[in-house]
Amino acid sequence: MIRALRRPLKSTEATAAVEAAIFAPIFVVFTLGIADLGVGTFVGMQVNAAAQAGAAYAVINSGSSGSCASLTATCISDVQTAMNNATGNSSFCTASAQNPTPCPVSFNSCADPNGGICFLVTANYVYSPILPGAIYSWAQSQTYSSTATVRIQ
Amino acid sequence: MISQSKNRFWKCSAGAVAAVTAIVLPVILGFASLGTEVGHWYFTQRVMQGSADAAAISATAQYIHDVEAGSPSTTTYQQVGVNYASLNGGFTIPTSNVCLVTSSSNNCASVLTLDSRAIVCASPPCVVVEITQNTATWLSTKASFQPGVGQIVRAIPTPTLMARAVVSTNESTVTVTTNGADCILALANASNAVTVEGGGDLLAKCGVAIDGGIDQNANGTPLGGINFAGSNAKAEIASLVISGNYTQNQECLYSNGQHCYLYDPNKSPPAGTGSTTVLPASDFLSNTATQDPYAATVDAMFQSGGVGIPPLGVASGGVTIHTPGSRYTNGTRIFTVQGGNYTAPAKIVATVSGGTVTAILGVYDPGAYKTMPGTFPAGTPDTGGGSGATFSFTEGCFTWPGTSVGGVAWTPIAGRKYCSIFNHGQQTINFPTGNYWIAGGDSNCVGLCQSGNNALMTSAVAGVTFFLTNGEGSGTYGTSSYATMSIQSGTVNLCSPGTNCGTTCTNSTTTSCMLVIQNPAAPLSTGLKTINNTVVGNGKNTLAGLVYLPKQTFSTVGGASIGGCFGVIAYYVDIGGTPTFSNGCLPGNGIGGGTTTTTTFSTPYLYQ
Repeated sequence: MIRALRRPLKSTEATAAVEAAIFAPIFVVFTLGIADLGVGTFVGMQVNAAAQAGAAYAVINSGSSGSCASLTATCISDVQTAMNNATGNSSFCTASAQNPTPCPVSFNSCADPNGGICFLVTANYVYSPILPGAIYSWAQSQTYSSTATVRIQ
Repeated sequence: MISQSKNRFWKCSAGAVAAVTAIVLPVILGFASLGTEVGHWYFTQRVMQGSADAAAISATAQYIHDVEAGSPSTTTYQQVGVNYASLNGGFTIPTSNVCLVTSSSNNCASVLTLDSRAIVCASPPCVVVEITQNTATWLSTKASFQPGVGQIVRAIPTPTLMARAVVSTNESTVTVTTNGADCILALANASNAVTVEGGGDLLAKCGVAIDGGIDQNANGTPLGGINFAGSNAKAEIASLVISGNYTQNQECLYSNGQHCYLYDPNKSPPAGTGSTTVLPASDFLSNTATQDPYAATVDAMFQSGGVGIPPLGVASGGVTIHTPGSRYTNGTRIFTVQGGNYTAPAKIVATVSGGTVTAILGVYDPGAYKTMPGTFPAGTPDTGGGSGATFSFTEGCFTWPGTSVGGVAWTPIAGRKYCSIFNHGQQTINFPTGNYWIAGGDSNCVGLCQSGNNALMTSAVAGVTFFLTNGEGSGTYGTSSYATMSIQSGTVNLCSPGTNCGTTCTNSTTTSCMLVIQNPAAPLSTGLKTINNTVVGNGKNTLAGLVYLPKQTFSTVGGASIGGCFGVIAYYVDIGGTPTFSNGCLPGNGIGGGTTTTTTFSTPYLYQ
């Protein structure tokens, strides 16, 4: 009986399968983790680009005859269109599960001690990783956010 | 035995995956690590560029603000750039990473040290923001590795990330010229800088400005104002602008009566008996500066080479005979002096007897010299032959000869330096067009004088300008004596160049529209009644042009009226008659006018 139990431990058959079974999950988790990190970085860059594109549009069109001479509905719409274009996603600034507070734009006195009038353009995006949070706790669903603050006066 | 062991090792397949994993895992981890960190760099680079863009645009907004506020040299824009680099991504940069490129210079040496790429700014001014990050200091980069040749792993590269933003804004300068609305400017820092006395009526189809205490007396408390010293005194004017902090009631009420009225061409004299419309509050300004628009121009006139410096000439009584000569035609001869650098040579009246010059009767024309003739110059007679006569000259001012010199009829000559110009009596003087310098005065008159009820001074339509300046030498009428104007009676009808004795003036030459210009070095009137320049009497005078007396009082007394397109700039203005002022004949842009240069900028745009 004991001899029968020891036989598999002493056997060298299918050792590759056993070792592969041990290391394969590690490789899978590692590979998907890298992929998540890459996609997350991409989303972060998109969010950053969207905020900057929106702010750039607002600055360029902040002259007296521009659509963003003041914060009108047209200005906000145009800024959000610029943000959509920057991300290649025509609904980036449309409310959704990934974007619950779509692309807020404000036009206020600057917080900087030197004063002035500032445009604040914010882009948000909620990213859900491929792997569930139980495996990568640090890669759980998270919100990428970027705010561009630009003084125009 | 060793050989047997080797064979067993190579034949054994146990632990093969572990061995392969041990070899491959560092390679995989290395490439994964490198890829991840490079991705991190690109992401950071993207954020850095966005931050630099936002910082440069914000710094440009501050720069535009500073230039428009008249402080183009302030460097607040650098701090703003630093602040917005921090706000957009949390990057901490020194102020030297924010620099300015103008068409003539830049302060970007530090930026170029960090990042040697050329700064592209084809349309200055440009604000440049440079953000750099040294990945060698990052923990993530330090912790990353890559497969190595000849070694299992090695450190990854550590590049310095750089992001530069260049923001340009088109700068344009707009010059706006406005004409002033005033024709009287008093400069004294006194509440009675303009005083209307007795029954005086200050009639002005234009504004009255008093600047004492602001531009002309910048160190004092502004006190300049108008004062009415007589229950019948009044001002009928277009506006009143004073430097003092007085209300309209404080300025215009006297004995509880209103004295400031709005000039009305249909009611103000001579058309009517007087305006009854109180000067509107909108036409009254206090605490307001009015620059003397001609100060710099006139100062320059009296500097070396300026038009206010009189030419050299032969002093009256300063001629003696050195050599009598021979073969001249007997009689009274006018000799033209030879030599010297002149625009007009001197002429002397002399007696010739026996063919030789026997006596000097007077100076007919003092000449206008830059360099006087040398020692004992010869003279050429007006008629006949002869030669050999030479003379000795003394330089100095020319005493007004009246109507004749040595029995030869004389009329005024423009372009000469006179000791004084006076008309005491019943005669008429008609001044040919040109400049008349009056230097220091003499016993006849300290400047430009007239007395006698029938005395009359007129000028050519092409206009004249009188320069009132100081004399020469140490005598009573020497360098410390400055000419003034004193019209005590009679009539003066004088026009400045460019007016054609009309109601407007064409400003085309240095002296256009300038009738009387006193040297600004003249002694100061310490009160309303000190060192007066007066127009007195009952004459009906016409003056076309500006009377400029920046250090002294201009006073009208009695029933004398002054018409024409006449303006005054004086230290004090004392009105006792009914002068009529107009801004139609002031030089340039007039009083209260000027040129304003405004710098404007286009919306900033990213250039690099």
